[in-house]
Amino acid sequence: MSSRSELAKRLLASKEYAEGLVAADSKNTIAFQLRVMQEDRGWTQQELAERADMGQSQISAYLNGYDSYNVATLRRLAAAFDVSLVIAFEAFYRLANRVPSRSASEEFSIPGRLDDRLLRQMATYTVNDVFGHSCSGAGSTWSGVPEMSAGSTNETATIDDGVLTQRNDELVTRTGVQYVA
Amino acid sequence: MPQLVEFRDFVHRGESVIDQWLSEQPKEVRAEYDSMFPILAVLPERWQRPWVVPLHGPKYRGILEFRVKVRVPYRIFGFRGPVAGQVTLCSAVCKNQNKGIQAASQDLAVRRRIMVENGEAGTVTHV
Repeated sequence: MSSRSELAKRLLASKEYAEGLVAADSKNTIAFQLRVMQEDRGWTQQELAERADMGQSQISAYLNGYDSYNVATLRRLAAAFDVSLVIAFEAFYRLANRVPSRSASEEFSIPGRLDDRLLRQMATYTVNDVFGHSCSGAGSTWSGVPEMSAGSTNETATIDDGVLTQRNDELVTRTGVQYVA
Repeated sequence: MPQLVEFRDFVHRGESVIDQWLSEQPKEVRAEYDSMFPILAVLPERWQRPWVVPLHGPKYRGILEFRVKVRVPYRIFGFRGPVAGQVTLCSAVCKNQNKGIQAASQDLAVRRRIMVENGEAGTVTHV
C-alpha cells in the first residue's frame, strides 16, 4: 500500500494523477459505502431502490462504481439510509492523509440517524458545542470552550467534578460518555 | 482501525512488478490503484464483483483477479499469502490487449505464486 509520503509526492508531481485520485476516491468511497450500508441493513437492491425512489438498474450501477453522481441523487441515497452527506472541497493534504489509511468501522459502516450511538450520547450531554475546540489534556481544565467560559473562547473553564480526559480524538468523561471531536 | 489485509508485490530482479507495471500505465491507473486497495485492505469480507473475482478452473485455483477500471479495464492478479493476512499481487494486464496476453498474465500469476510459495522469489510492501 502506498504511504502518505509517496502519495504526497505523486500528488505534487502530476496534476493528471491528482485529478485521477480525486475521481477514484469519490467513486470508490461512495460505491463501497453504499455496498456496506446496504448489506449491513440487509436490504436487497430492490428494497434500496424503493426507499430511494429510484430504479433498480440505477441502484445496481451505483453499487458497482458508477462515477457520475449528481448531488440530488446523493441526497436521496443519504435520505434512504438516514445518514448525513458532506460534499466539500478540501486541500490535497487531507486526501493524502485519508486515502492510504482507511477505517472500515468509521468510513463505511455508517449507522442510520436513530442507530447513531454517538449522536445519542451527544444528545445527553449538558454542555453544548465542545467540538472543534481544544481540550487541555487529562485533568479538569478545558480551554476555549465558549459555553464553559462565559462566552469567551480565550478564557479557561473548569468542570466542577473534574475528570475529563482526551484520548486520541475522543473526549471521555468520568461516566464513560465519549465524544468524537 | 488497522488494515486487515496487507497487500504485497511480487519482486522480480529487485523491483516490484506491480510498481513497474503501474509506472508504464496512464497516471489515472495508479490513482485508481492507490484509492481502491486501501479500501479493500480494510473490507476483506466485502471482496466481490465488480472489484474482486476468483479465477475459475483448477489451473487458476487460488488466483484472485482485482478489477480496476479507468476508461478501459485493467486486471491485477494475486493470491493469498505467503503468510496469513497477506495478499501478493504478482501480474497485471490491460484488458484491451488480446486474449493471449491476458491469458499469459494469468499464467504468469500462477507461476509466480509457486515461486513465492517455494521460497524462490520474494515479496515487498507496495510503496
